[in-house]
Amino acid sequence: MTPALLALQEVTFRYNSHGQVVFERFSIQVRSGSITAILGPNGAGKTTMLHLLLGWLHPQDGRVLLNDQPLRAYSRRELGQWIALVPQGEHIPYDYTVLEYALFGRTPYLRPLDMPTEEDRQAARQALEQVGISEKEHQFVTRMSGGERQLVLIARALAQQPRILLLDEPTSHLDLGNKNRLLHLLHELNCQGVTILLTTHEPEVAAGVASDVILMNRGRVLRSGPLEQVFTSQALSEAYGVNVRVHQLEGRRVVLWM
Amino acid sequence: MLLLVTVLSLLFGRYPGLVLLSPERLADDELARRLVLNLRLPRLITAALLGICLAAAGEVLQVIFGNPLVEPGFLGVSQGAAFGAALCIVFLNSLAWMVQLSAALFAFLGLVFSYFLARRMHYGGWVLRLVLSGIAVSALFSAAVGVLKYLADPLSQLPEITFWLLGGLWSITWAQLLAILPAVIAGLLVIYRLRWRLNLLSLEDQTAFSLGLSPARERALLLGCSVVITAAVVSVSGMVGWVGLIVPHLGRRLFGADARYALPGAMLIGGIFTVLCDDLARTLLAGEIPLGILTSLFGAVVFILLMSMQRLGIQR
Repeated sequence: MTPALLALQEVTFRYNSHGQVVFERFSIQVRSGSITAILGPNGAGKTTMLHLLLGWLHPQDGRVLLNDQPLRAYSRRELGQWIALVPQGEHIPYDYTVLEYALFGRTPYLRPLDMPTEEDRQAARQALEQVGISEKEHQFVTRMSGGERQLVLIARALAQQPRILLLDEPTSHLDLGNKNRLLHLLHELNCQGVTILLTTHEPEVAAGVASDVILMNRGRVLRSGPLEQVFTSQALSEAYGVNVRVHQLEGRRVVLWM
Repeated sequence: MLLLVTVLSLLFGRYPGLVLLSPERLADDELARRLVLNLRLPRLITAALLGICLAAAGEVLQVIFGNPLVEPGFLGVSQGAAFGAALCIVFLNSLAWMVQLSAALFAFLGLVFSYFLARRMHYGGWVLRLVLSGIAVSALFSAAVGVLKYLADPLSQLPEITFWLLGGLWSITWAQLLAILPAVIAGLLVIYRLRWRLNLLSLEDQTAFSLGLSPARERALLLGCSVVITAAVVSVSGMVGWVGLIVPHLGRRLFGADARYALPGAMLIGGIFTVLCDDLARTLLAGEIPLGILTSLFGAVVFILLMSMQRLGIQR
């Protein structure tokens, strides 16, 4: 078994001291070099979990480990070079261009008073090329469609050249063509050594791209492990509370529900 | 461009007539030289700094709060300064330096008050809480200014309060300029050097965090710097409105949203705009027109034009 690159150990978390407990003694492991899908219905705690792994939220109890070190052992800049986040969507207040937006991803490589260099612009352009929107680099992000914006957010994360890429429901705004393109891109990045962790409520997305699956509901892990072990009719039915069937069709797993 | 406008403004005025002074005249005429060096020059530099600071503070606040309708007066700073000045005029005396000191003090108190009020609120995001508490604190201070105006002696004190509230630079001396200079330069320098990261603070907090920033800390630093420079310039100029709201818009329109270019652009436009307004304030009539009236007049006209022509992109 490959060692865990990123892990939550016995984590207990609630949003405020009087609030409901989101996680109690919750543990997961993300293998180095894997594409791990966190699969679960809406409200399962998937986004909260990503924010814990990012260090944005702190658990009341338990540990968050990156490469066997607690997150606190890393400086803010180091962490920005290690882990990039693609949020579900974000408010963009001003008319930044696509290239400017992708360039934001270079910030972890700049000291506080530095300005981005030509090299950083190259890296940002390359990231735009990877997601296939380089011809739109001078357009305003604010005037783009939801799907295109999602691609810009992904480009920004790629410009960050992270070793771990966290994606929060990356396919939620994408049409079939772009969804397919994104899943290929994730495969490609994974082959280049990037460990990928994505949340999704769509079983097909997990089946299409993941090597490992963490199936969760209401702040608990129902099952975790390699795709073929976790992705069963029984486990999915349990997680979603409806009757789910997993079929094999032309070598791919297809999910039916009724 | 700013330099050119400043030099021309230096030579322009109502002495001996409504003309530009020629360099020869400046060399020959002792009075003209004294007038230019001791009265016009400190006033002009202050006017330029006033515009630069208000524009820079406006840009910082608009970017940080992700809201294009925010200006330095927001967060209780301007109303606090107005209250401080009025308080001093009514209960102490109208010595310029005491009025300024009191204005600066209460500008800070306005901010501190807004900040702690925002911390005590238990709902909404941090930005919303700051905005709400800023509005509440401003309203309190402006009510208090109303009370002071009511109490003021209508013959001596009231006109002075009114003139201060309208803003102007007629009394600026080298000593006053030098007194605010260190704070202004330090604050501007920090803001200018951090302008790349300023961009990132317009994004959502967890995004800024994931890009390696410490959003709360960096936002507090930039916010503190903009309040320092605003309080410093407003303490000598009185209330000069609209520059901090309008100029950053123009900056973004002309130079793009990226603060690397929008911030210096706005500073430049702000400096030119207030120098020109101040030229008009001191030359248009034989008496002095309060600068605040002119900036508000032109500012509001530009604002109306912008509102009717440009999409502002307000989403929260």
